[in-house]
This record gives sequence, C-alpha cells and structure tokens, in this order.
Amino acid sequence: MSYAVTIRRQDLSALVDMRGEARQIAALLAGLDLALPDAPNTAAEAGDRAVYWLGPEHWLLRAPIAEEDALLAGLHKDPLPPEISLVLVSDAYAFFEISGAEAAEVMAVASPLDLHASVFPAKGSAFTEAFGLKALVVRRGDGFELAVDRSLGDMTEDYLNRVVAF
Amino acid sequence: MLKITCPFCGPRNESEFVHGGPEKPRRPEDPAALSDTDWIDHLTVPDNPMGPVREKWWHLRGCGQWVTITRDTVSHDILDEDGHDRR
Ligand SMILES: [Zn+2]
Repeated sequence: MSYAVTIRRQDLSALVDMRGEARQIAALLAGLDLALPDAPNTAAEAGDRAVYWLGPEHWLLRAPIAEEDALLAGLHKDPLPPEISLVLVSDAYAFFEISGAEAAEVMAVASPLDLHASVFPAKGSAFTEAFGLKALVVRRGDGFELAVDRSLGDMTEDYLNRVVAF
Repeated sequence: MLKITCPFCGPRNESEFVHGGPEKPRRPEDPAALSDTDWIDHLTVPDNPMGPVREKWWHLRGCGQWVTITRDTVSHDILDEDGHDRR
C-alpha cells in the first residue's frame, strides 16, 4: 500500500525572521510592496513572495533563494528601529512539498494540527508539531509544505517516505 | 491528552505545549515583616490542590507565547474564567 502523494524536498528559500511591532514591520515590508497577513496563522502572498504570521509580533518572509539579496536590500533601513529584529534564516529550514490527492492523510500521520479547511484555510501557515519536532506547515493548492530545522531534514525526509510507503 | 486553546493559534494539542507549572502566589511586599514560618512557606511549600488550578503553558511548538489556563487537577477539564467546563 502507499498513499497517492508526492514528497519533494525543496532547495533553500530566502527567509527573513521578523519580530516587532506590526506597524514597524509593515512599514519595512512596504518597501518590497508586501503587506502583513490579515489573520493569525495565515499568509499574505505577492507573486512568489510570502509573509507568514506565525506568532504575536512574529512573521516569516519567504522568497526564492535567488532573491535573497534583493530582499535584504529592500528591507534595509538605516538605522533600523531598535525595537524590531530581522534575522536572515535562509539556511535554517528544510522545506518539503507534500502534494497529491492524499496529502492530508500523510499530514495527519505527521502532525496533530487540525487541517480542515474551516480551521486551516487556503492561506493557512502555522508552527505546529510534525513527527514530534517543531515544524512550519503551509497550505498550498495541491497539498502542503512542511518545514523543519534543516539539521533534522534528512530524518524528516526518511519519516515522510516511510509514511507514504507504509 | 489535553486540547489547550492558545489565544493566538486556537485549540491545539497538548504535545505542542510545555507545562510551565502553576501560577505562584505573589511575592510578599515586605518579606522582612513575615514570620520565618510564613516566609519559608511562601518560598518552599507549593500548593497542590485537588480541583481548579491556574497554570502556565508555553506554546513552544507553536506561536511561542505563554498561555494561562485553569485546569481541574482531578478531571483534567479545562475551565473558563467562571470555572465552567469549556467543552
Ligand atoms: Zn499559540
């Protein structure tokens, strides 16, 4: 038996961890023509860039890795307000795509997060747990993305493959 | 397994949280004014009631914030502010 799912480990994304007052973060993002998401644990997307609202005063900015320099240049402001924190974390996470008709079945093995559309909507993005690890889960059109600390990427890949081909 | 409602994330599995222990009584304004017995009692004798306890949980594998809930230590029910079972 196996689930009708494709698992793909992605290349790195450009990632900037952003903490601080929403007003100040929004002002910085305006320089990239990006806005903050409207609701907790959702994303705001513009083209291939996304902002995930992951906690009180905590967002993650994501873009293709080739745009890393452009992101940093766009966010640059001198001086940066001392109340906010911007940290480049592109190499900190391993992202996986879990796509296909039974993606939700695989996610249900990995994570206790309620992924029903009424709770975790189209632009849902949240930190939760996957295989006992802290993990980021993002809904995409054909399934989900799952990100874990990159040092645990090989282990997570192995777990996902074992779930798919049970 | 508890289902704990985080103000930011909504209802989540207990396994996403780290138990932070019961809310402690406030430190006395003037410890020097207390008897030794009362001071030692404050420092070292935790309440361990059967029934509702206000306690802290850390949403570590979630949004990262600290959450305060009232949990009945006998039934495991999570109660709202009025002491009613939330289910
Ligand atoms: Zn939370």
